[in-house]
This record gives sequence, C-alpha cells and structure tokens, in this order.
Amino acid sequence: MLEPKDDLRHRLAPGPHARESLFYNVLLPDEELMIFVYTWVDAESRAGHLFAVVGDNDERLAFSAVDGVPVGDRDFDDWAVGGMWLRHSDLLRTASLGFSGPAGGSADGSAGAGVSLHATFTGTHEAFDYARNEDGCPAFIADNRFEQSAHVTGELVLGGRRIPFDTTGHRDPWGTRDWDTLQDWKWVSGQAGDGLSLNVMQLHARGETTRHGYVYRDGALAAVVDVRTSAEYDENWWQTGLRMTVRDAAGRQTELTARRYALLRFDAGGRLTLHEAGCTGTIEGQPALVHFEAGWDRSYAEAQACRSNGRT
Amino acid sequence: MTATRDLTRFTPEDDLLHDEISRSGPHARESLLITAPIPEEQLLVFLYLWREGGDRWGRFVFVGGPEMDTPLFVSHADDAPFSGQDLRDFTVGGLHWRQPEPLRVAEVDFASEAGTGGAPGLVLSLRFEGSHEPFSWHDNADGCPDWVAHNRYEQSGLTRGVLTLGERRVEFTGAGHRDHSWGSRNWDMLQHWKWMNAATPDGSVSLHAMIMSVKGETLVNGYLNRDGLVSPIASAHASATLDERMYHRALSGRFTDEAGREMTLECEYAAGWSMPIQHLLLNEIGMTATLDGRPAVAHVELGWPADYVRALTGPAA
Repeated sequence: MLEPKDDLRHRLAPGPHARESLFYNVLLPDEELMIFVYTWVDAESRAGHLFAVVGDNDERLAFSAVDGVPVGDRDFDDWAVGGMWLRHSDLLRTASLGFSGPAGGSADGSAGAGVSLHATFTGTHEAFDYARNEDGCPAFIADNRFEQSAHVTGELVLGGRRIPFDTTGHRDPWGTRDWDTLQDWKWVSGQAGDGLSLNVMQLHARGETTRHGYVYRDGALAAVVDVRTSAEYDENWWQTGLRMTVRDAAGRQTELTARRYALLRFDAGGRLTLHEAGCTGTIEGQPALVHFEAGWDRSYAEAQACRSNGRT
Repeated sequence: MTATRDLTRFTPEDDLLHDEISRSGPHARESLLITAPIPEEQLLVFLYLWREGGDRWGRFVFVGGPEMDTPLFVSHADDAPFSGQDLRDFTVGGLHWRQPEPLRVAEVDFASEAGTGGAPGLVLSLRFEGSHEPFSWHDNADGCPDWVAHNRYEQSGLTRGVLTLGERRVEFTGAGHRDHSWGSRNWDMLQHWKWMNAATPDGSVSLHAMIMSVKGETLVNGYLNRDGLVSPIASAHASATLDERMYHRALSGRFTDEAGREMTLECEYAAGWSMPIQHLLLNEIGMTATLDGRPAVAHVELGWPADYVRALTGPAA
C-alpha cells in the first residue's frame, strides 16, 4: 500500500543500478509537440534530468540532459537539477514542475530564444503501484513504482511562442533499475479525459513475459491481468501505431488504438534504446492521448531497421 | 477424438531437397535435425545439418552430458563435403543420413576418432521412427513466418541406437524428435525462444511447442499428440528456471490445442550443451519429464542473443 512518503525520495541500497526516477509527459497533438520530463537520483545523491520538446522523427525542438549533479539531501518536495525544478506539494496527488534554459535542440541553434515550461499535474485517481499486479514489480526495474493519470495545466514557451495547455498527462516514479535484464518492453499510458485512463507495461526479460499497470474506468481502478498488443513500425523501427486489448482484475476488457505524431529516441544503459511516441488515439472509442514507449536492444532495433530498408 | 480440421499432408518428395525454394535468395536454407535425449544415461544426442545458399553444407554432431560447459563430444563442420542421392541417402562431413521410409524413418551413422579439444571419439548409429505424420507450422494460427522457413515439418518419434564414446558404450531406446525446414532463415528476427519437444517412451503422447519472442510479440507453434490425434497448439505458456549461467535447469509448461485438450509438461535437466549459431546461443538440454502426468523424456532448446547472456552473466553483472 502506497503511503504519502512514497512521493518523496526512498533510501536506496548502494549499488551500480540503484536509482530513483520520476517521469512526466504532456502531449500536445494540436501543436504536434510532445513534452518529456525525466529526472533521477542515485544512491550517492547524484542527480540528472532529460528534458525534451519534440516533434516527429526525433525532431528535438528543445533538449537538455545532465547527469551526476550533486543534490545532497534535497527531496522531491523542492527538487532542482540544472534548470529543471519539481515540487511534490500534495503528496501522491499534485506535482508542479518546470524548466527554463536554452532550447539546445537544433544543431545550428536556430531554436532561438530558449524554452520554458511550467505545469501542474493533479492525479485523476489514486496512484497505482505495480506491487498490486499479479506479476508484481520485478526487482530489476524497481523496488516498487507507481503510476498515475493526471489532469495537467500549464504553459510552454518555445522560441518566443506561448503555448498554454489544459489537458491530461501521466507521471511515474521508479526505484532500482537494471537495464541489462530487459529484452524489450512496451509502456503505454493513455487518457480519454479525466475519467477513463490506463497504464500498461508489458516486459520481456530473461525469456519471461510479465504485465503490469491499471485501468481506471467508471470511477474504479483495477489491476491489469492480461494484455494483447499489435504494433506497427516505420523504416527506422520507430513505432507508428498500436492496437491493444487490456483485461483487468474487475473483468473488464478495454480497447486502445494509437497513431504516432511525435517521437523522441534516446539510449539507456549499455544495450538499450528507447523510442518514445506521442500519439493520438482512442480508448473504448473515445478520443485519447496516448504515450507509447518501446524499449529495445539497440542491435536488434538496428537489425529490424536494416531489414525494413531491404539491407541485411 | 476426431480432428477439428484437415491438416497439411506432406508428400514423400518433402523428405528431399526443395531446390526451387531453398537453393537461392537471401538466407536460403534447408536443414534436418534429429534429437535423441537419453536422460537415464545423462546424455543428449543432437544431429543437425544444413545447406545454405544452395551449395554450402554444414553440420553439428554433439553428445551433451551432465555438465553444460563440457560436452562429451562436439564436431562442427562448415563447408563440409556432400555426397549422395538428394536427401534419401547422403553424407555431409562424415554424417551419413538415410530416409528409407518417406516421412517416417531416418537412420544416421557417424564415426569420428576424436572430437574438438581432444575429447574421446564417437561412433553412433541411430534409427528414428516417427510416431505420427509430420506436422506443418502453417497449421498453427501464427503460421510459419517467412523468415523461419517457407515450410517445415516437425515429428515426434521413437529412437533406438548405440553409441560408443571412448570406452563407454551405450545402447538406447527412447523418444526423440526431428524436423525438416526449407526456405529462408533470418536468425536476426529472434529475441528469444523456447523450442520444446517431449514424448512418453512408447510415443503415444507427445508434444512439440515453439514459443518465439519476435519484434516484441509472442508467436506460438506446435502440436499435441494424444489418443491418435495430432492437433495444433492454440495456446502455450512455459516458464524456465535459469541458473547463474542462464542454462535452464527446469521448465514448466501448459498447452492447449485446437481440440480443446490441455497438456502439462514438467521437466528437469539431464544433459546438454550450449551451441553457438551466429550471434545466438542455443542451449540444448535433454530432460527427464512428466508429460500429461506420465513419465516422459524431453528436449528443450532455449535460444538467446549471446550479448544478452554475457550482459547478465559476465563478471560485471
């Protein structure tokens, strides 16, 4: 059972994989933008962030990544790492965050006047932790983690243009992470308004398949018990679409479709590549915002891209 | 028990080379395999030969024992000489293979004075008799992907033979498995797989199941054989217990076929070897088994990208 203090830093056992991380997204398909905010800290209190505003095909309109920044005892109720700040003010319910700095997203610096963001995430249901799933929370991805759909308000300023938003989004915090154990995975969060949302993670690791996440529907939050996915990919092996059927512990079946409009690609650990797709789609036929992350062994993804391009 | 539908019927010509399909093209390949687990002796006899690109023949002959890292005999030949009449009676690199009764019987002989690394020589004679008609993966809902093969057949069978490993002579009768595949093979597609074959000693109950992780999805192939009916597998779930080297020491499986029948498999390590093919490791393990509640033998192959195994088992892991 989650407690409010789970929205703050946890004591991490020292080790090469010990880390705690937080993720927030804002999908703005009308602007063809995806905002990606990720921050982490290790057992030695060294922190980092990855902040990006992207269009499609890894077009980085704003990008900032730092690591190894000493943060001491600073906690998530007043967090700051190199231009990114975060406040978990109403624990397990509300988070405010922001970023300001040079856009840094284009090779010639033409992104210009810089980027700033402020956003407030308000959970639309109680936070759900993967320990509640039948498959639990595998030790190699975290001691535990929770996921929460949210209502998001705020404003992005990009290249001098103000883009206010009032929409839905998602957030999740993690624990220990051993990227090397993962073979591939799909992580999907989607919201069709504040009252219908889901999060699904389907992991392939050590030859086993596990499923995690929740469905929030008709005011009831229920654990995922089974998932069927069918994804499509382009010539870069970046996902273009998804059809997904989710069965939950309440006996409900929920259908999701997604079509990509934005994509961010980055590497993690020694072997893996992450493909983050901002999508529009449907949940049970209702218009939805969907974030579809696919993680791959880098050499496998490259082999599939070569095959798509007719190369061997 | 009656069949739910007609299954693919192979012809005697399917025991032979399929030149029009497997002779040219990217990843062109034709291969034959026989496996004979002998768990009571902690032995696994594994015979595998292939033709790639239409003219390059190769073969693996190995006998696995109780230690995965120290096979009792291994002989691998690429660009091996081929002689004989098609696949009816032929030899690849000293591996003599005959198929005297189409789609049912194979007989194999092999003799080598010394294996790789100075291991004892091997003299082997083995006869395989199919317990049922060969089964095509095209009869599964997931089909036979074009990067696996144009077609392939799989068959449970009874094995009988004698092998001499140095001073050790073993006569054996048991249950095994064979396959014949033709078309193209692109190993790059595979992220992981479990290839499972098990049978009771009389061959009356058997299964062949393949669970493949490909492009982030799971594909299922194979059949259940019981009461004289071979029926395509509709769902398969299997979980392996891996040791610190990622060798599977035990496996549990649950299978359902199109006829609605269920079958369970439980097995434990007896003998094996980790066979490298391109960038992959194929952990080939003969196992003592319980199939459908009856004593059985099994051969379970788990395939892994070698880099993945190294990342999880290397000194820094």
